[in-house]
Amino acid sequence: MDAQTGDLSVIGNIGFDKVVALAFRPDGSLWGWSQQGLLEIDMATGKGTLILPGNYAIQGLTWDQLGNVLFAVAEDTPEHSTLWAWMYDSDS
Amino acid sequence: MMCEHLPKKVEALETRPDGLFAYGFHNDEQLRTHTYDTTNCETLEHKRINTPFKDVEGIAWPGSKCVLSNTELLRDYLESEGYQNIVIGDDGHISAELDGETHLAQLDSEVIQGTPSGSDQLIVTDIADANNDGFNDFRLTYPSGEQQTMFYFGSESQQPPVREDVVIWNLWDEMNATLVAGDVQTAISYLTVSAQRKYQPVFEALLPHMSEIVGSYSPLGKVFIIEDMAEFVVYREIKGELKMFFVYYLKGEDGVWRLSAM
Repeated sequence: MDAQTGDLSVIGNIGFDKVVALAFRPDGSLWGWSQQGLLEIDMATGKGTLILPGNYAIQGLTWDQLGNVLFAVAEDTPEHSTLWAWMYDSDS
Repeated sequence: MMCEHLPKKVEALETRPDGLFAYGFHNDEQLRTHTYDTTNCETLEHKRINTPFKDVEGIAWPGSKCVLSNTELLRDYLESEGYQNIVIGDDGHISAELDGETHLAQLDSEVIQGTPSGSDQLIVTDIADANNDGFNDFRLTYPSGEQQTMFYFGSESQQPPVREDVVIWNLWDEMNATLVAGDVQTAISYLTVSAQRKYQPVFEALLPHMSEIVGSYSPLGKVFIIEDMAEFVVYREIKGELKMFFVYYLKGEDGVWRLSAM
């Protein structure tokens, strides 16, 4: 989306289903949660790479300020949401 | 799992610059954000944002260190100097109030590249009168190293009075430009109410030929201006003969000149 005009333009097909949350890591990389699990998304092509397979009811994602921990909020109980944390490991 | 007592169906989550989280939840009937501390797994505060929108689906918090545009830097500088009601137009025209006086300035369209200053502040330096209007001007040096001249025009009370004939010439030109563009409704707004009734059908009838007609006008010449009435003259060559047409303007109670007859 053009932040000045609000115009939308298509970048590309992510390749996974129902991407419901997006979050930028402080290094500028883009991450999302799909029905198949956690994705890193190439901002030039839009193509997603599955980093962490999992079928959780994730609704929101955010990185900590250093980019070491990815937090995910999930609607996995009837009465409340739960907060999950995933440690980033550049080697894995 | 880290915390398990967030409200039902939180679906927007963002990390704030202070490390706390902001979240919103599904079907919230108000646009609210909530601050969450993951250390103790507790919500610290709820803030409502006044807007007709609801049901927050996503939150994006700006980074802790924003890069301000040159205009934002100048606005911040003027505010720090005590100016209020600051307007910086896209064309670089500036007006700002200080101690009840409105001051006017214009940013030079030329921006000179330079070496980054190493500061994140705008540096404003007094310089001599660069545009010979009797007021000293300013050199702006942005953190990027870019330099720009700000021409200061003084306060509104120091501006020379606008000549009435210049105002009417501009109105005449604007009206004719709208007619050539085919916009009769805008064109008749330059007329008095009674003249609108008389000339709107004329304008509409002549609209296909308006470009040719306006192009045949001589410059509008001033005959006289007395208080709220003005007489001008325009010449047109019609079938090889030079014809003279008088154009009359009246100044309304709102101070606006409008064409009353021609």
